Amino acid sequence: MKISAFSPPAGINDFDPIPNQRAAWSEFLGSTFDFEVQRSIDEYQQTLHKTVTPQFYNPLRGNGATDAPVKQKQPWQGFPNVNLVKYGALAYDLTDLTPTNRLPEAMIGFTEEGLEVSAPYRPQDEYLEWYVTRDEKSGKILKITFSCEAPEYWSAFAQGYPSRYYIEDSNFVPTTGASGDLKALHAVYEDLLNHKIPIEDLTFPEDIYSDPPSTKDRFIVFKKNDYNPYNVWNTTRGIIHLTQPANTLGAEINLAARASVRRTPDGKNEPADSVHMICCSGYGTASRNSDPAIGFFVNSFARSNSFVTLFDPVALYMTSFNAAAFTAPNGDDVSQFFAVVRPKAQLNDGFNRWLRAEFSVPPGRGYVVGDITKANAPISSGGVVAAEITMMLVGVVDGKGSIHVDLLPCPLKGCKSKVNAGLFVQQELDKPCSALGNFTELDATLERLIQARPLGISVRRKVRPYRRGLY
Amino acid sequence: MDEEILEIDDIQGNSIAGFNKQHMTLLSLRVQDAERARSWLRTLSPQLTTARSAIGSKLMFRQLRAAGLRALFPAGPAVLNAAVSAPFLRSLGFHPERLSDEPFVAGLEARSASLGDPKAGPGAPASWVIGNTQRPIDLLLIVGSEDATAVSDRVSELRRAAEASGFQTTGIDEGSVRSDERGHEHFGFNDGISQPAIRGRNSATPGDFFEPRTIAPNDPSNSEIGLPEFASPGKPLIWPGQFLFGYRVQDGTTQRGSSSPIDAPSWARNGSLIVYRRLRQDVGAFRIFLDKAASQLGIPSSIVGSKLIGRWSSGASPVMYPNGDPGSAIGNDSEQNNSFQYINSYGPVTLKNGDVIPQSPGDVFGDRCPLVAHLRKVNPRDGLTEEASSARTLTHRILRRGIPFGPSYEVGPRDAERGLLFVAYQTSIAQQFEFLVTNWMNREDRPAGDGFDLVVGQNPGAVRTRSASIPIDGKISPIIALSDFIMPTGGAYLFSPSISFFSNLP
Repeated sequence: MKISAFSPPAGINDFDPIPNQRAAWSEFLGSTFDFEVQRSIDEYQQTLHKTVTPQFYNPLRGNGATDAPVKQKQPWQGFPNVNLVKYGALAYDLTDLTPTNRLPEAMIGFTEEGLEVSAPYRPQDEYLEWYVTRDEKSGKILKITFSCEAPEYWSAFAQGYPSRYYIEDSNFVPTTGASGDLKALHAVYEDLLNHKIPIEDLTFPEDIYSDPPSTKDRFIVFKKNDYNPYNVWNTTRGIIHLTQPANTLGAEINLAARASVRRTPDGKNEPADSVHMICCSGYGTASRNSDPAIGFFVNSFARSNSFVTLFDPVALYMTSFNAAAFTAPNGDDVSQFFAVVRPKAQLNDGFNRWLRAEFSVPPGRGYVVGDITKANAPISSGGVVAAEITMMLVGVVDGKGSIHVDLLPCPLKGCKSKVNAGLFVQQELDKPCSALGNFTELDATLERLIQARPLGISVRRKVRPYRRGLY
Repeated sequence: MDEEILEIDDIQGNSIAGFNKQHMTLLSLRVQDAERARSWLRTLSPQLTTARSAIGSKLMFRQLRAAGLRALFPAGPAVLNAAVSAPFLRSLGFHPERLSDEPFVAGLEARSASLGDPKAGPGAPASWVIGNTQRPIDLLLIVGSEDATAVSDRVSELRRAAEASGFQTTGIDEGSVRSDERGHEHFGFNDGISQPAIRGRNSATPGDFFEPRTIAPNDPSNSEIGLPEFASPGKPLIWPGQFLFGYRVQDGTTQRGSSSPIDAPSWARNGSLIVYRRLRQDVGAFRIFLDKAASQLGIPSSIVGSKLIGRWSSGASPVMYPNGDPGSAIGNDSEQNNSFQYINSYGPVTLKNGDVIPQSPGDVFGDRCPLVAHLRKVNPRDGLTEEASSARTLTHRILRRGIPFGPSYEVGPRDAERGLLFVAYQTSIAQQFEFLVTNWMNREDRPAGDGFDLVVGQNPGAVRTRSASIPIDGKISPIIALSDFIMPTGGAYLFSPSISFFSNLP
């Protein structure tokens, strides 16, 4: 299959009035695909000592296959499984940290003089994030806003191409001359959040570097006046797009490309399930819903000796909401309270692609979201609603049976976590499983919270959306 | 972790063993005087059929069938099991909440809407023939035998005794295996084939496993990385705590690993939760639907049926036999009719008796068994789901003990009521039966694919029309069902306690 250009996610039209912006987006995605394909070529070369055409390909370049492509979607559940496994029912509350300012932080770079820069993010790692608006007096939930939009899109919207932070290929040279439109982005922010927003809130006040000054090859990942994906209106005061560090389009393409490489742990058989596959290959996080599902989905396609890639428009989407799980106080049909905000119209190609949605009860009904029940309990967190949202991506396969690639060995292995029996984690081949036990940053954050915050007691930790600290 | 010894003298026979009788009647009773009821239940205890007895009976049946002497299988005395509702349990002095299953406490009638049942008409709880507020089920007695008269005699006797102890009869549902197509449900498909195998031992004697292990030791098919261990081809071994309180459960992360038992009180040990659904089947409407779809797609209706169910009428799998129904020799052969996976190729499997079950290919794209087929919806095996790991799929399995009711469409009056007395055992109705219904059968995009379970699923939305996309010759074809073919007409969520629970009643 060959396409002439990548489309914006869900075919959304923000880019249409901006000169060359659609072309710039397509060029950026194409370069990401090329980078990932090359990564596979390099691994085959290093391991098998020969040039191999990978099964994953860049659809802008095509693959020469002539059979009809098969398109198939892979669903996953929107609530983070890692948190659910670790904390059970308590996870819904713990994961639901907005709109307070208790967000965890990730280090995103350094100032010119070497101060570490951290940014807040939502601890929601299934490519779906949400923001909860509550009634100030009662604490009841009034609205839950969901987004699965990738930060690269908004970064490109503001400045033509995503900031270097999101571009893996250090040799990538933009050619279209697109420069984005920060003012247009600002207008979309104000429209979606229904709030006046100072435009300077949306940008970085200084350059952010990849490394401290002592590092020879450091480069600027976010330039001064670049769009700041971690701005207050996308973190503590609202949601526009994804913030969790792993929730990126680059991660999706990387995962699909790496999962298309067929591997064997014993020199003979391929792993028969998603968790063993992800632990063998080392892409993504083994205990999520999303990463193992996406990976095994792509890998199972590759096992048909076919070419495989992601279907345009490439993105991660919400695709359905299960209103039947909820009961309104007066028996109202709950599906009417879930509204898709972006895009305004679907592409009519058989797939539901939702980027942004709101769950709220219109005024005058006599009740609010917090009065709606699920399994006889009132909705007390955004997470219980997220669990009823199905996410998806679409894969495409062609050239069935035409490409035969040798199996590669597994660079990693899987270990059952000793900390939590429900978690499966990757470990280097030459290290024993007994050496495991460290929490990831997200886990550590939740761990701190669960220790500091017994049920029902709120701890407010002052964290500025953009913080400078000593390196 | 060694497999536990199952207390088969204390476990009721229909749960982990299954009665598998030609006739089974469900006698529903309402309690009116808890104290008199308590006394009567104590006397019931020694009359209850144990799992040991049920296994013995099944073993004898298998041996006689294998020898071609099926007719010699003795009817024997009718078997009996009992189960209680959450309200009745509470009136006996126990806290149903301690079983940690919200649906059980709420009851089927209260959960009906969330299962997608119609909110009005004959499928709505107000119209149910059994299990609603008007006709509650506080105590369910399950009576079975090879002989219909033995069942009816025993039911009459039990009914008299129960009513003498203050119970009121609220319903009697008589189920029988179809005489014209043994083992087939009314739509015409061989049913009840795919059941999980329960890990556990009957005794400390080496090799004395509860579930017969028919695969040759060290067969490579049982050492695939990422597949469960199988007791017989395609029949995964599952830790008993998924079906019995007090035993280890699947860990949900690995195919073979276990976790500590569900936190339940000692009085729950050896007990299970039962889902009883009285499902009316509209065979005429189903046949018309199949014929229309066949005409639309240009293929025989038998193929449409096999695509929607996921098995040929005989019970054989289209994953193994894509070109047509190989017939009952395969469909009824428990070593051959379940020997497949969906993503991975499976086998060949060498059995202890030396037979070799041929390798079955995977079916990643659903070309042979569509992703939306009933079988693939409710048991995706090694397939991907929205939960990603097939190890979690094992935690949703149930033990099915249903039996048809009403005359066969082929031989009886066509307008007679017929259907399935669906009975399933588990330890979490929320994570097992209800998960399968609300998360997979009634949803278009879970566990995978594009569409509802057209045969058994319900569209819980305002419009009940259901659609599903199935691949035919490489082309995706949508099929739409305008009406439901299966309608709930009653049932209950119940607790099937251990036998000693009854004798130890305070």
